[in-house]
Amino acid sequence: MTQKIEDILDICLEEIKQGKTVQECLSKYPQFAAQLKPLLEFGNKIGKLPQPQISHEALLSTLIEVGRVSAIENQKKNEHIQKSFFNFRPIIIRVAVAISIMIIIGWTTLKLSATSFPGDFLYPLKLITEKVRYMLTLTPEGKVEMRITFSEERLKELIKTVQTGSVLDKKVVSMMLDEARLALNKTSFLPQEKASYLLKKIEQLNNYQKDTLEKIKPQVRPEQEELINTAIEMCGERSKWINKMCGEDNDTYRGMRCP
Amino acid sequence: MEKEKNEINMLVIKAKENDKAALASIIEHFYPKIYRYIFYKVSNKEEAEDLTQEVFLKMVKSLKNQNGYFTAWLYKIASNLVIDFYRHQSFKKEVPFDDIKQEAIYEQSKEFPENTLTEEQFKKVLAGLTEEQREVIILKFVQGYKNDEIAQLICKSEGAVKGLQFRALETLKNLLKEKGQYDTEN
Repeated sequence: MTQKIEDILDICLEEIKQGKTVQECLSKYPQFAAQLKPLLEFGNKIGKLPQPQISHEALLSTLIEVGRVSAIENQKKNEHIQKSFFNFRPIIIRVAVAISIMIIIGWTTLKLSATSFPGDFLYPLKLITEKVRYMLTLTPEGKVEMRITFSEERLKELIKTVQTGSVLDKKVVSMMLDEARLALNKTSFLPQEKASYLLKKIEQLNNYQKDTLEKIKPQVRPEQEELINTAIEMCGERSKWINKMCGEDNDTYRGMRCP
Repeated sequence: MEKEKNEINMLVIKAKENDKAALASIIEHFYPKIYRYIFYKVSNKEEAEDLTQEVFLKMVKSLKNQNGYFTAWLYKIASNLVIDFYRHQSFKKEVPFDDIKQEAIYEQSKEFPENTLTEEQFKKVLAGLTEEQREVIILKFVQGYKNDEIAQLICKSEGAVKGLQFRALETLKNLLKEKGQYDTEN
């Protein structure tokens, strides 16, 4: 492979630097000798130029100036760190305020939704909150109590809707009866003492619901009479059934002592 | 070279951590190199000293953000400062940079005695080269760097450095031959 003249020039410059003469080097590359000779001689002469001497005063001046600038830079850096710290504080405050506002808004919304009724904007949130509360209740007796509370809540809603518009919400009636039924079902998994107490409560709930529905019945629209009658009948029958199951002749319900 | 590079890296790390002694060592090590590098690019000693100081001031201001090969980074600062210096000079005098170079070449042709090369003559003749050629000639013949080091410093391949070196010497030879001021035959 033929070597390029650039490479040969470089090799020769290196050899001359190591102590060889220009002639010695050129003798190895006769084909390039004429072209290389002036370049090598010129390169050789540049290499032999005396090095420009530095002024020690200038070096000292640079060291002093750099030291001064370095101190200023460090001071700036420290100020920046302090500034960053102080800038950070309002961020913490802002985040805390934002979280507080979110908590306040959330809490207020939940409170408002708790007093909402079917048809209200916040009513679906109320039902969701109830579901969450039920899921967060860990004990079985707590879950039964929760269902009793929900059933009572549905009754309150029915009273309110009938009083305001004489309308009996079929869905709310259904939910009220369902919650009472589910509460009753759940008692079968409880220890005897707890179950007896809760069965009593459910019986009272059914009686109360039956009485209340009978009271509001005159205000209900004629076309909804059949619905309210069915609900009254179901409450009554459920109450009777608990009574019968826990009557004197039969003082156990699903193997438990009745109230 | 590797040992020196490692020592410099250690000094740079310490200087970044605000070690004054390390900073001073860096300056003491590089000051002569940077000064010589600038000296052959500007017209006089005072300008070279001012610019050299400026290089180290810039270095200390931006040292925290430095990464990669420190020496190359430092030479880059020096190179940019020289470019800025000439830009500023040409703006002040309203004379383009190329004209200044041409003028320098013209002046050198008037002054060169036969078969000698002085520091001042060399400076003047360098002005006839391109920026990259000048860079290679100074780093190689004045600073004594090897091709691989120059390649790192100017971000080129070793082959490109050899090519620049060849063309630079050719240009210098032709410039001088035209004027008949430097007879290589003697």
